[in-house]
Amino acid sequence: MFTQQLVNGITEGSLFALIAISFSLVWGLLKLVNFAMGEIYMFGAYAGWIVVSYITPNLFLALIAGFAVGWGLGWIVEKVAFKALRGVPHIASLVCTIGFSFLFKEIAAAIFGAQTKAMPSFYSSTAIVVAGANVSWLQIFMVALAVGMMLLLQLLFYGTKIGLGVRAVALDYRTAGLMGIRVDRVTSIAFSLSGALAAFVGVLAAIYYNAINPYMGFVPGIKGFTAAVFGGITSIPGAILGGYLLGIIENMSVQFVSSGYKDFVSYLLLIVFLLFRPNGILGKKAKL
Amino acid sequence: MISISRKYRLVLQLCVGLLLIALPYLLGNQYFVRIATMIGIYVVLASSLNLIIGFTGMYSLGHGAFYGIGAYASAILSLSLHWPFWVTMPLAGLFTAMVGAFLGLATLRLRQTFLVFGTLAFGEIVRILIMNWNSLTRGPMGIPGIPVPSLFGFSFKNFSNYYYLVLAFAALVVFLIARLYRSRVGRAWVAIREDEVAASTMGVPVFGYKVLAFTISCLFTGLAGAFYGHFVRYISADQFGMNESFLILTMVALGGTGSIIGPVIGAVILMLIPEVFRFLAQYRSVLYGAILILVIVIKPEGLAGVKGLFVPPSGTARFQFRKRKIDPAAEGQAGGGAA
Amino acid sequence: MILEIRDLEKRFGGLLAVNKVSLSVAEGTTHAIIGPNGAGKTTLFNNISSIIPADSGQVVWRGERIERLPPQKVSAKGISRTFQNIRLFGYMSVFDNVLTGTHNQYKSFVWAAVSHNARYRREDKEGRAFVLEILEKVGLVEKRKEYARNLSYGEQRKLEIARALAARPQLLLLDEPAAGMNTAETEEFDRFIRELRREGLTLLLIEHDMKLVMSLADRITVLDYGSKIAEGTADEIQNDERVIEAYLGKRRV
Repeated sequence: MFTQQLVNGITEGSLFALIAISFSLVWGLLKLVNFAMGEIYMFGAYAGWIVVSYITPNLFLALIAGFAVGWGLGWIVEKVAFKALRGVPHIASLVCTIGFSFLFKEIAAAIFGAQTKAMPSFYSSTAIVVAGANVSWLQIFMVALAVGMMLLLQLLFYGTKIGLGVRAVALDYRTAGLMGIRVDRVTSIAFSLSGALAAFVGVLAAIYYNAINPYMGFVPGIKGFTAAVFGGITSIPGAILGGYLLGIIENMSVQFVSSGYKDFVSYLLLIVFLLFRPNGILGKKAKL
Repeated sequence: MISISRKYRLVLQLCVGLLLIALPYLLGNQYFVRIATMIGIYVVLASSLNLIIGFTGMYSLGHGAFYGIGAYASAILSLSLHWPFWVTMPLAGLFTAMVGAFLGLATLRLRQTFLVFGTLAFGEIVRILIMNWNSLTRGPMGIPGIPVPSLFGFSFKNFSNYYYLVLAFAALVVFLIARLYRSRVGRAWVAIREDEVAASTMGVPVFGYKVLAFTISCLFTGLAGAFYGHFVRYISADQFGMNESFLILTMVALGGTGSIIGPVIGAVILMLIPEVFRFLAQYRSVLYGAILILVIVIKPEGLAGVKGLFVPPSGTARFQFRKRKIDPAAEGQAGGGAA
Repeated sequence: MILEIRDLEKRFGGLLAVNKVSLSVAEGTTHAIIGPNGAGKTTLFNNISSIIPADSGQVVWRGERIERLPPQKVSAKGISRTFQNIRLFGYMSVFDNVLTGTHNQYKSFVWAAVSHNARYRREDKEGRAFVLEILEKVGLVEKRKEYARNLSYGEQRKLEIARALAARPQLLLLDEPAAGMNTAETEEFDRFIRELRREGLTLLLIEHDMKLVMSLADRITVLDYGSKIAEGTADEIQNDERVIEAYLGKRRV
């Protein structure tokens, strides 16, 4: 049982980690939170579902579709909730993204209907058995994909000019601007990227949980944020650490509390960390 | 908003008052009276959330939860102890205020963004507790059969009667909030919203007043919950989740933050939208999100609101970039201007 | 000595903003703090009013140590201040800004507010009369219903002082009150300060306008890079080598 929960925790943790990175990215650049991240995740899931159900049951295509949809939605949110509200206290942007969150939710419900839809499953058969725990191909695939994505991001931030720009703007946007970095463009790209990541996770989640509905984004959004706070919202390694820890802790907690309270654990962790250690486990660290 | 001179304001208030009293007879239809009653309850909810948002500048997304706590407290007390509404309702309010005080004490030191999530998490925790604490709350089945209030044999079962009850309640709450606003307490709150630091050097204990606003707000919200429970007579946890918190927030944002009339306007408009926009069918709910976005971007203080919430604090430079390179000298000048 | 600062120190990361500064302010006097920009003057004020508490050292007010008190308690002790970059309550009327300044003197709380009881009515009446008095003194009575943010720069500075005075302080900290004023305004300000002094107010003043400082100050403390480099009367300071060096640079041989 214990190892099974661990395996599940690592798998879910991979998803949380990626969402947490999305939050971290936006926070690091703008000191802002995109409340609608969960809904972008949800649209990613729907995008993947459309591809797989109506176009071709190709997982990679679904992932790409999700990524693209998330990129677009991230771009929209940035233009309205952040760019248009420059100079206004951050809380206005947050409230605006709260509006987006509800807008997206209801648009999805209006278009796709509120019923939960099933997603065709992939690779769900058991691959290996480790210490009494069944690990499915899908789980391996998801963790691999997530880690792969993290490595790609690492490459992006440390190996490309754009990545350098992002890091510079996160550290000090004024100086970055003075050095010739186009801060507007960097911000826009980073924001779109954060949306794309969330949507990417959405596709994976849709397959893993085999269920899609317009309201599925709320809880993962909060959990992604919790994970980011948990590990330290200012850094990406923190987000990753937070994601995996949250996934593992949540799944382990099923041993002790009934499954109805599973989400409860995350919310409690969020409040506890906000109150006592808002800088997360890793503490205050510049973006790395 | 249009400013009306003192004399006319009194006349206007009198007319509106008479209109409200005559409303059930003017409407005729019980369905509309029901809506009017719900508007009354939402007026209280929005006004009390405005205490937190508009007067102290803190944002809370947990108000749905307090609404639910009030409703459940009154329902549980009525059904298990058989106490009359007139006892359970104030008790529910006080209990909710207490919970609010605790939450406030714990979370009001957080910066705004984190406060939103903190209150949100709290709201979800409450909802989960209600859903799973079967022995107390009957979990997901909700609580049916909440008794109708009665006074010396006069029952409020009739929708019109309940409407008057809620009307009196809402009028009282708005009146109390108006009095608070124009007092030393209200000035301290507005000072906190405008500039916390300066307020503290004037002798305002900022944190204490924030908790006070939160507590009083939760008192009214809890009372509203009790009124709601005994009106609809069946409550369940899913009525008090994020959707509810969001609805109340949008009412405050649209109607106007930091003013007395703002939340009233917001409550009326947002309650009437489902009726007016019936033709949109399932796309109605899309409106709410769109409204909030539009309000924030176009007129952040809302229709009848008082500015001051979304203005950059003095001395803050703006994140201001165009396609051209920034000019540090010019940036210093630009800071502090209107958004 | 109404106010004594002993070895106050404040660091911001690697920057030592206030470096073991000590000074004493005698009651009823006007004490000026001068120094080049970045010398730590405003930080010192922030330490005294506790909005940014010092790392170490003592602030002693009438024999009582107040450095660990929260800002509202420091204010209650009788110390009011203005801010370098004007922190008014922008979307509050001029009148209400000053009225808020009276917060410390009254006790009306929730019950008084909703019931309009005797205490409320008394305090409200007194407070409003007092505010009118102050507004007349600074010359802002006509504008009392305007939003504070709509005032001109000079008027805003006056309003800030009016608000600080509403607390009936015993010590008033003024942070660059004459910044941006022309000659005529500065002269008027000079007269205004003398009036306040005549009423027994102790003043601690940060200023760059040397003429004003030399005219008003009984005693001057000079800060540079967070440390006190000189202290004395106007004459003594004007001829102090270190002060001249700090402002003008080393004399070339």
